[in-house]
Amino acid sequence: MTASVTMPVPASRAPRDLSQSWSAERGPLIGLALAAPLIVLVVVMLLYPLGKLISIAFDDGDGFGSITAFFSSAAHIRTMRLTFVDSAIVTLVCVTVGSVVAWALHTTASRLTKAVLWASIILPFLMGSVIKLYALVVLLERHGVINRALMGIGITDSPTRLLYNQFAVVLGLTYHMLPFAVLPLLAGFQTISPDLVKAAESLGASRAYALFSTVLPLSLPSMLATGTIVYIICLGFYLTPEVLGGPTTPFSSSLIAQDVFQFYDLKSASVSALVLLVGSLVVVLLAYALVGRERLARAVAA
Amino acid sequence: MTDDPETSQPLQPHAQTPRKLGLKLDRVCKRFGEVVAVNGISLDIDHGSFVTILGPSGSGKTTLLRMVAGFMGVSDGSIWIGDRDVSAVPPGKRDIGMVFQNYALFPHMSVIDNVGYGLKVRKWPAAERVKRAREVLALVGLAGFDDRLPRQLSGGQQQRVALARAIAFEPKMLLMDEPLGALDRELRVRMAGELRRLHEELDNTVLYVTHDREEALTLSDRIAIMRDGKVESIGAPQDLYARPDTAFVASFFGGHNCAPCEAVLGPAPGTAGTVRVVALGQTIEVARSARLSADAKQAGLAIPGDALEFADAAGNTGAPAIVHSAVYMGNQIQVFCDVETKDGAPMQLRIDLPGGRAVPPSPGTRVRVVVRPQLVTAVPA
Repeated sequence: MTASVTMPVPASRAPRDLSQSWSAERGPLIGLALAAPLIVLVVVMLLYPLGKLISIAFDDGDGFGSITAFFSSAAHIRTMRLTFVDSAIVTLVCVTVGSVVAWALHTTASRLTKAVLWASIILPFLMGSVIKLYALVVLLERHGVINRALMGIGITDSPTRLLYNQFAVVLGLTYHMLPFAVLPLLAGFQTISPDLVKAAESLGASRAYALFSTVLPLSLPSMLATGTIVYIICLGFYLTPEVLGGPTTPFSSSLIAQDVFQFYDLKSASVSALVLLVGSLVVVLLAYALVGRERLARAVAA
Repeated sequence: MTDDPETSQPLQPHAQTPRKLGLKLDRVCKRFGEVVAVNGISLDIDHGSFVTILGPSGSGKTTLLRMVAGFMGVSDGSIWIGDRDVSAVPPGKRDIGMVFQNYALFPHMSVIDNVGYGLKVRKWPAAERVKRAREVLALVGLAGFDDRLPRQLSGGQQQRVALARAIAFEPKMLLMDEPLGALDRELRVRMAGELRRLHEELDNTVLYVTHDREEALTLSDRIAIMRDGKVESIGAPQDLYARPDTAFVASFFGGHNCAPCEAVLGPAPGTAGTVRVVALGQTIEVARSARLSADAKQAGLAIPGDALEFADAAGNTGAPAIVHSAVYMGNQIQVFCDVETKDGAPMQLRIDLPGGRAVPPSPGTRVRVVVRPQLVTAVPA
């Protein structure tokens, strides 16, 4: 009678089935399965086209010949210079203005100020690019709102050229990019106590020096990170430079579009795209080197 | 203010120097829209004294401190530090050091740079800056911590750095906003002792804001008790404790019982400043607060817990009461009693009995409560 020796088991409790048991940690296969849609997307939409791009750019076997050809064209150089310089100006303006707005949002006690600032950030963020661009055209064009106002007051006699130049492109891009700057900057500022500025002021610093010596060093990593985001998005802009800049101030995206749609020159387009890509990568690496690990750790600890 | 000239003289650590004004508030007001946070406060503080602003939250004490510091403008009135009207002077030019509740140390600067910040903006050469910062750090007991970052320090050490930073440039005035609030109890008591010691060594005026009456008692030469944007009372800790002049001061600062008088019989013959009242079934002669007019018909009594004791429950002295609860606290036992009043209004009194080996009475016990009049003050009802 061996059966009588075992402990009585309630009938409802089935023997333990290990394949059904719960475990706190999931195996690597489940993780992979969950990430699969994203992995497929990255491979199909990003890695494959990138490989294709490289193979088209270098397909005739003359090594870097296509690259040297690209840089020997004055038009290409001018376009690249415009793209990188204008984006840099936009980045500088966005980080500067964005910092002021974000710090104000962080420190103001007035609910009205807060509401107005949030509205001014979120509304343009939610508006379509085309609507924003059209609004800017209405403001800036030859007989637009600003020109009529300027002539009405008597500051100018004839319409000033505000549209289809570098100024219009920088303005449009800044308008578009400002929310992208304010939001990460605000996240960075929220780790900084406004009392630090008060403490610095009570110790004898002017308001400007107090901000310069406390908030600036503490938020430098988030400013650099924000600048990098803004700069890289700016480099790839197409619509805004096309509409506000016109043919005289082409961005490299316009150059690529021209090559593809007007000249059917996929090779030239690929080379331009690669130059743009490498430029963006350099910016990211530079930012990482500048911010550095220690700085980032301090920013987090603050 | 209701300064009694006899009692409001601060204990002066620098008594040999002629009396000099440290801080003067002249009818200072702060309004936020409809809300009046600070309502016409006038206050003269001697140079070299340690004055605490004590009040419950929402009494306007922090607003007052922020106005003195210059982080907020005054809606009305003026603020003088020394002999200078600073009402329209930015914080950095007021010659004040401030210790914040959360310390507000600069997290990206080493201890020595934090302490030397005030000297740096005053354009001290680097070598002297470091020398002075080291001196001050030694004074607060943090020698050798020069290169640490604030986050590498404990709460108590951060507190010391904040203090060192505020006193390094020898400001005329030191402001402290609940600086010990974030520390645990033991450390708080020790730091309070050190603050007092430091104050004796330094030649400055301290304005200290807290809601903790123990801190106020330990530290202050004078205490200003704030309520609803006004200074309710000001005086030396001993005076405010032993002879509170209003019911609020008695309960908030002294922790005393407040009981209404059943009848006020007028001034006691022959002695000024006293009044005969009927309370708790006794006719007693007690000290009269300056705020209570001599011919008042109604009054309240501020009764410290140790001015009450139990009488024979079977006798007929004192007021009948029932023990509600009792708390053993080591050196004393706090007994809360529901007293039977004539009009049936609920009245609970706290009676402090000696502790030690004594056993607290059990709830529900019928007792009789008598009052020792020497420790009691009659205040406006």
